[in-house]
Amino acid sequence: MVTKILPAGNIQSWIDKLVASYGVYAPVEVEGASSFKQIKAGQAPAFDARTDLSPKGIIFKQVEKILSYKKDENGIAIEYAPEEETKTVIFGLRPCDARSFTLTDKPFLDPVMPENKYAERRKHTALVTMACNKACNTCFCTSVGGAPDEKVGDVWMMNLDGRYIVEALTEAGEELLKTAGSLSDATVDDEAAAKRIGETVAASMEKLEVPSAKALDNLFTDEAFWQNLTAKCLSCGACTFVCPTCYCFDVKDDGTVKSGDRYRGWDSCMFFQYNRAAGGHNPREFHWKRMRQRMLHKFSYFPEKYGDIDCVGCGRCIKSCPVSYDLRDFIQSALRATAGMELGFAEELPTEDQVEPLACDVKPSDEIVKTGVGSDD
Amino acid sequence: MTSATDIKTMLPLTATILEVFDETPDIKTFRIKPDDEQEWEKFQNRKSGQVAELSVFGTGESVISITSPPTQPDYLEFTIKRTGVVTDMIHTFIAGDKIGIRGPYGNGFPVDDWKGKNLVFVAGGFALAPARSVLNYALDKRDDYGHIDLFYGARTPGDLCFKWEYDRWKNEKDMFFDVTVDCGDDAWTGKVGVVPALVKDANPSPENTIAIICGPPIMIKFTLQELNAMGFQPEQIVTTLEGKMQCCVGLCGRCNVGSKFICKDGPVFTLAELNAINGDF
Repeated sequence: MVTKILPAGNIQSWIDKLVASYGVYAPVEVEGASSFKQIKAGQAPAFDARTDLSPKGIIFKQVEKILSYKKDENGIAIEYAPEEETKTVIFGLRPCDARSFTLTDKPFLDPVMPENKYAERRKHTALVTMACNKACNTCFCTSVGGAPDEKVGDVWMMNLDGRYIVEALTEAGEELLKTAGSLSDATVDDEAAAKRIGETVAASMEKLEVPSAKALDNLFTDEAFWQNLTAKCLSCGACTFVCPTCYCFDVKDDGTVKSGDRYRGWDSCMFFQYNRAAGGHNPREFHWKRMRQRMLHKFSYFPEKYGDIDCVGCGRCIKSCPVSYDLRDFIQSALRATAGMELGFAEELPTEDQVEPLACDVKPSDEIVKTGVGSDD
Repeated sequence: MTSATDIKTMLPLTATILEVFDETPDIKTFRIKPDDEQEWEKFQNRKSGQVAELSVFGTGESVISITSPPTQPDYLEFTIKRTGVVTDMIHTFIAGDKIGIRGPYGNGFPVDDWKGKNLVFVAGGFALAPARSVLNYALDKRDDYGHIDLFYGARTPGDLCFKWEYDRWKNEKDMFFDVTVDCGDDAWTGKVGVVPALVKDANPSPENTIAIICGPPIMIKFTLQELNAMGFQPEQIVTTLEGKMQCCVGLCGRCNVGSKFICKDGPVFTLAELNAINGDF
């Protein structure tokens, strides 16, 4: 489809038009943390960086009512909680987040047994993807099959110094663009500029080689590898809650035997209770087994089933981890282990000049070194 | 009332408990029939070895294997041990009570592929439940299958399940049934010993035979050693797995062994399949 140019200063009026006919979710910063919230007309979204929380909860709700039940002398009346049919737009999500929905679609929009709640909301939600003009130091989308300018979602757009280059990727996207006011055709120069930005941002991230699904599955039996990898993990589950592609859930009843509701809520494979069966058997009783499950689900089981890695490289798990566990460390040490190379784990802490810095080691900027800010002494 | 025509993911329908009876002090068998005609039809078209998710509203859901064969025309049987909050509640239910049900889920036993073969069942404790479904199915379609062996055991005579079926199994033509307990009591006149020893004594031939093993891990481990010595190949040995499940439709993410979900790709696996899986069991 053709690329267009949204003139500088017109984006807010477009958003306001969308707010009039859709529920529009956009990045909003509240008390220092950014996430996707429903915005009102005139409210300017905070587009400058990737949000702290992913937009996953807009389609795959954190807590979702499945049904209500009521018991009386005639038996039990079960009432299915109807699906919401509000037309929704997620505006300004990054390509990694847009991509996460296409990944979660694979199990949840299963042709034989689709998940009704997810399927219905997905059908009524359009994605307006904002390509990235810069990468965070935790971004690694190019390593897992994405790109900072990936054309995914219903509308694709990129900031060109205040003007936006836009493109409808689907019919739903064309509908949305009709409300954007007057658009001019993008010139060859505009397209070249957008391409250049995408390449520059991609080049600013290190592209890691990810071991194959099969190679990682063979790593399953290397218990020392997983124990070393997980040594500092607290099993807090923060990584799974901020992850746009984690979709494990739990089902709980809230109520009495007489009446109440049944809910589905986000769960985390990092929790001890997650796999504990009635009677006490727990196949993943140690945190390294749960870490192994999380990593292999994303990088081995999911790719084996659906062809794609179930990680979009947004880096939120790296940012949110209280003990600075870095997913890129896993990718790199797994690659070494699967290649039969020496592992990156050392028994004694090596001195700085003995270890090669990993891609994820954030190099202090010159200024910090100069002023001494942030140094330990 | 919601009917099976507009079935939604994870939406149970009501069923009526027709009959409840004790198997052991902490195991009861429930005869249940879904209230909705179409739902009942769905269950009648199931395969042996498939499971259902039973709902106790206000408490939660539990995945239970259906122990009656699909050839049973009047009800579904569930043999349930008191183990957790949901099964505790189910044990308080009596005939006439309502319960939620959804399913059937899982792959079930490939009974059609086994036509003309001999079947060897090895079971311990109340894990006989899933095996009993296919055992009684084969007995109802007796001419389709060859010789049938059933080796069954439990810790004590009081822990033996399905005692009311023993007469039938002993008198079926071309069927051998042997039962043992780990520890007898004063009234026990039968065999004392472990299940793998029964299998060893009987020495079934692996020729044109499928072995179905359902029991605690320790029983499975030693039974496999015996079957291996007799020449059974991993493709001939079939078992069922269980694990913590929430959704039973392969989404909630917890019951996987390797890339296979027990609820969707299982619970029936051959030993050859399990040998190829790296997974947490």
